[in-house]
Amino acid sequence: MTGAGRRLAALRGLGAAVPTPTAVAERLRTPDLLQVLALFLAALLFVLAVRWPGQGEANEAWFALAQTRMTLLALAALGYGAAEGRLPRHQRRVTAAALMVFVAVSLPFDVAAYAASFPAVPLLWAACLPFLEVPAYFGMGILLGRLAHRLRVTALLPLLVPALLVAGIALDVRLGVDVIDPLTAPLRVSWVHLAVITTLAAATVLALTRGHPDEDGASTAEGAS
Amino acid sequence: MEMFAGSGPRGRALLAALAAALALVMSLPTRAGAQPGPTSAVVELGLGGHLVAGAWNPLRVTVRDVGPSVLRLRIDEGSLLTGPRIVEVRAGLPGGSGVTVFDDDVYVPTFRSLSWTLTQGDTVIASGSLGAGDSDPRPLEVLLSSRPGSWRAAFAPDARLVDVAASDLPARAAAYDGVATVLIDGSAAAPRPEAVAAAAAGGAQVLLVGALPGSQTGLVSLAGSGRSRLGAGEVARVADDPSAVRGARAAWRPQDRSALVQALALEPGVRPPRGVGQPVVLSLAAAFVLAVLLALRFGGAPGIAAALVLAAVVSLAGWRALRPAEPVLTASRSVVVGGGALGLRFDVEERLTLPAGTVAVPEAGYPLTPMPYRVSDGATEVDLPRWHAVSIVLRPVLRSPELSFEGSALRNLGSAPLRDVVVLGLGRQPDLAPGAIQPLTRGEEGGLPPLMARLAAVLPPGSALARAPSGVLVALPPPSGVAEATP
Repeated sequence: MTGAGRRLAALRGLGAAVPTPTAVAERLRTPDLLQVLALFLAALLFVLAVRWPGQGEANEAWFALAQTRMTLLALAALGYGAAEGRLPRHQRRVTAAALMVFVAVSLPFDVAAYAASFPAVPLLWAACLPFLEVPAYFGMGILLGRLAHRLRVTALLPLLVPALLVAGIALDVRLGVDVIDPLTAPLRVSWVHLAVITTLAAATVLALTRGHPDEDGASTAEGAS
Repeated sequence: MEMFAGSGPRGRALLAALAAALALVMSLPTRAGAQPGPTSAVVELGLGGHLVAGAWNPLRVTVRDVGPSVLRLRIDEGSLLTGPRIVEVRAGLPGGSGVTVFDDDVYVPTFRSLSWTLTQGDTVIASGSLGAGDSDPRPLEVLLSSRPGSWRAAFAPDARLVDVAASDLPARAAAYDGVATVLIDGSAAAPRPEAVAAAAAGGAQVLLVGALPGSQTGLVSLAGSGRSRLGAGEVARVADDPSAVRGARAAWRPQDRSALVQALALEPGVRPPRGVGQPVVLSLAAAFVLAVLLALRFGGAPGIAAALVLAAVVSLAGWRALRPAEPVLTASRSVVVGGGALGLRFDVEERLTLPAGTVAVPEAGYPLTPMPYRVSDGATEVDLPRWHAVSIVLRPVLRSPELSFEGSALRNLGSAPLRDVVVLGLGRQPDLAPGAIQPLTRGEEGGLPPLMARLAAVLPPGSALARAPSGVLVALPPPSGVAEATP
């Protein structure tokens, strides 16, 4: 096969790996994900209600909103990744895509609060970071789920997920550098954080799109069932 | 060759020593030229070296045969309670061969320490420092006299009398911010008339004592018929007697310039953007959330597309509706205090920054609220946290007055119509068209715009105020006072 042929085949493979909108829509309609989304958006509404200033006062709403949004997104991605770590890859892909919809539909909160608050961090950073953060944390969740399964402590996952998040925050506080902490990530540009998150996100995408074809076939069958 | 060849090792050593000595002698002029001695630069801060804290002070740097250099002043205006609060002043000096004199005015706050360095690249050419003991806020009583001791009795015991040379008087009004009186008795070298005019316009009382010699008759004309207003100050002739000088000083009511600036900046001219109210934001956000959830629950694949499009549209609409037009909001206010043929313009620039950052004003000034700031080559910079405002008081400058008294009338000397004309004590006057002369009449009192009312509270009775497009104009009353025109 020529180089161009290999690239075409790879693209076809990638296209086959991307979940269809119908599959994502079906996943989003499931009660668990829809309720989590509703809770997530309600939490953002609550932050707006608490932090939006009176007229003429300094607008600090974005800072609380961006931190809440990023932390909840990371928590959701970590949790779903851990919970679906042992599920077929196709299902994980669909859930990851559904979580990306979370990021997209919560973007107006971030943009509107950013516009009114005038933070120093660039909008590009604030808007794009969650699109990397979610797959990165989803991948970490998968690893956590598999590790918990191997250690036979799956029952502790509801504790391990937030513990991993807190451990990441504590690590950053100890190091004095933004590496993995989703809480402070949106507030300041950190190239270290960007590099780590991009690497993790890329690894997750690779892990979800490439792998043993048998697993995909099995997973498709499982997903359909 | 024979001589050196025959001399052996001792001869070679002698030759090496001679060569080294020759090299040293040849290198001496070059080294002296590259590293000028400390006497080649003189920095003088304050009138004649007398500095007034909390006022604009003249700064003179004189360098000889020094290339382009940089003067840096570092003033710590902090206290034990607040800690260090650093003011940095930086000025680039062109320099060159021969003598170069650099003149400027620097606002010196009350300080704990003040140090300066004159550097050329990494080389410090000259430096110096002052301590808290040199931070004296008392205004200067400047004497131009060969017998300064004879005037001691004319001033209060705690007055700060300084004896300066005529050549020390700059011709810039701001340089006299910390000067109360300039006494000229004709016994010393004559100062330049423009320096004397600048002193008076800057707010000082210039006293021309006794009969001045013929070489100083130009100064006498500044005093008019004996006492006349000039800018924010006055020029008066008095008898050659300490008691007469004391009487003239007692009769003088100087215009409080700092009160004028405070009145100018009291009310914020720039306010944070009003933005969109919380009920509106919450209602729209809740509606958006509901629409998204419904689209995802019942819309299937098209529902996802609809939710994503809706999110994009709401993001764009939210950005357009909530984003203030400018990250830094600006406002400026000015007042020109005129008397006679000169006026002194005070400006206050206000900046409100929404993101944290540095706000800059392209002129020298200082923040009205004490905080660290920098003045770099005539531009003022202040670092502010987000959503904070600062009022920067600019260096006062001389201007032609646009409103003046002419006998019992007011005249508009400018090219713009004047509105809200009022004379304190006489009340409102009719608006003044460009070039118009309006006899003084008795009018209604009160009802002034807030800014003019605040300014009126710190001006002497008889002062005229008017509102022009460029700011507020003030004409200080002539020494003889103002009266209603007789029909």
